[in-house]
Amino acid sequence: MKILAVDDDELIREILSATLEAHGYTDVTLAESGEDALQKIAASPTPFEGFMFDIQMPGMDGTELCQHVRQMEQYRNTPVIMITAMNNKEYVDRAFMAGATDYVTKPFDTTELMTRIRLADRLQSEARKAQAAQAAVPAATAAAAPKPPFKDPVTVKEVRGVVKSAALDNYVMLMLEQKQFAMGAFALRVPELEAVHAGSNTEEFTYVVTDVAEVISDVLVGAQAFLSYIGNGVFVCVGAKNKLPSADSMHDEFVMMLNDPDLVYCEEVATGFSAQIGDIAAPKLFEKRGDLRFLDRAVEKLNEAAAGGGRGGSGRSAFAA
Amino acid sequence: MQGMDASKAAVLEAGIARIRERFIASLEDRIESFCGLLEQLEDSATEESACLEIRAQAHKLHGICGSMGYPRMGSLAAQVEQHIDTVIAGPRPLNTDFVDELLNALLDEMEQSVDGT
Repeated sequence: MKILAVDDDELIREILSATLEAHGYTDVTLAESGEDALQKIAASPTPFEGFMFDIQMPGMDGTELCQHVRQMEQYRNTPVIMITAMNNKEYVDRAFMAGATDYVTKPFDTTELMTRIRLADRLQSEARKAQAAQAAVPAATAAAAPKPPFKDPVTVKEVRGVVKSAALDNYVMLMLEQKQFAMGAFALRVPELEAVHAGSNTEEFTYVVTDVAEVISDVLVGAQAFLSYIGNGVFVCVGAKNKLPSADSMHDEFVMMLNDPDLVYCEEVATGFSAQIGDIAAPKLFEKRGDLRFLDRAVEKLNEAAAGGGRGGSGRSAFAA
Repeated sequence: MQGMDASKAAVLEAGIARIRERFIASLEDRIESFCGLLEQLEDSATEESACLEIRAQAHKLHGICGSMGYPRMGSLAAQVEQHIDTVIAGPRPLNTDFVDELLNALLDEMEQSVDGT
């Protein structure tokens, strides 16, 4: 994997380089600032396959750099691991909002660092295979290719607080590790998305899911929460437990906004939207740091809430890619 | 170290040892810089910029110390960094008394590390 590692501290750059090289990652480019990184990205004859950005640097910081990189078409989905020595939630939130997919904390634990790199490597290599497979399909066949099933996540882009499922897991792990605040999560489902999926193509369905995500993001704006669409019409939302709204308090406003055609535009399927919202789930005292089972419990609580509609049963892992 | 054969682990260890030597060698300059900034903390015209620079340097130290085998120094640097965040977010004029104390504790630790080598 061709990696660009950016840190303003020369010694940190050397530690990264030495550690990566010792583990077989020999194609590593180092940059000392955000500006330097952008120059090296522009000058690179072949694209980078993974990035490591220090969050706090003078001049352009890692978050701003991440935003720049995400605006480049070829790097929209490239793993970006943020490097942080800080336990300031605001910085970390900004980094994930900017499109970071994972993090490592300084001082580095070699095993942890390499776990993150290998995970990024695996994701990147799967993405490459998928791209190659897509490129191998003739255009006519591709147009006729079956759309992904309803149970699959779709990627929602450029909505505040919306991240991919894997990035949401990584964010939660970081917050749990840092014990910054009591976390909570809840899940919500928009059942009519199933009919929208059945009656539209992939692109149209993605637009509607994106609109719904935007409405959720607006409803949660004061809660500084993150959310992810995990498939099956279900979104998982995570944030500080005491800031997340209860199901009752957000339901009516949420449904009203869902049915505002200026906010959720859906011409393919004539439908009104409803919402099922689960209670908030939180980590339990006996659960270790990094234990993400409370996210599964959030989905279970949604299924319990929706049981009257006959939608019980599945867990988050069953939905997630 | 996981995922590495012994020879690569030895190469990494040797590499980290060289970086550690350079880190220790950098401590005197870092101490000198902090001392200059401590003086600037005494002047109300320069205290805020001094605070921000101390924070930036403490942040760097916090990031590197643990990897270099100086966790206590890293922890003190983190305390300086966090306290300055609180001070800067607070009212003006700044109360930098505790910044001064924390930084002196960090400087003691840095000097002991230099002496220890």
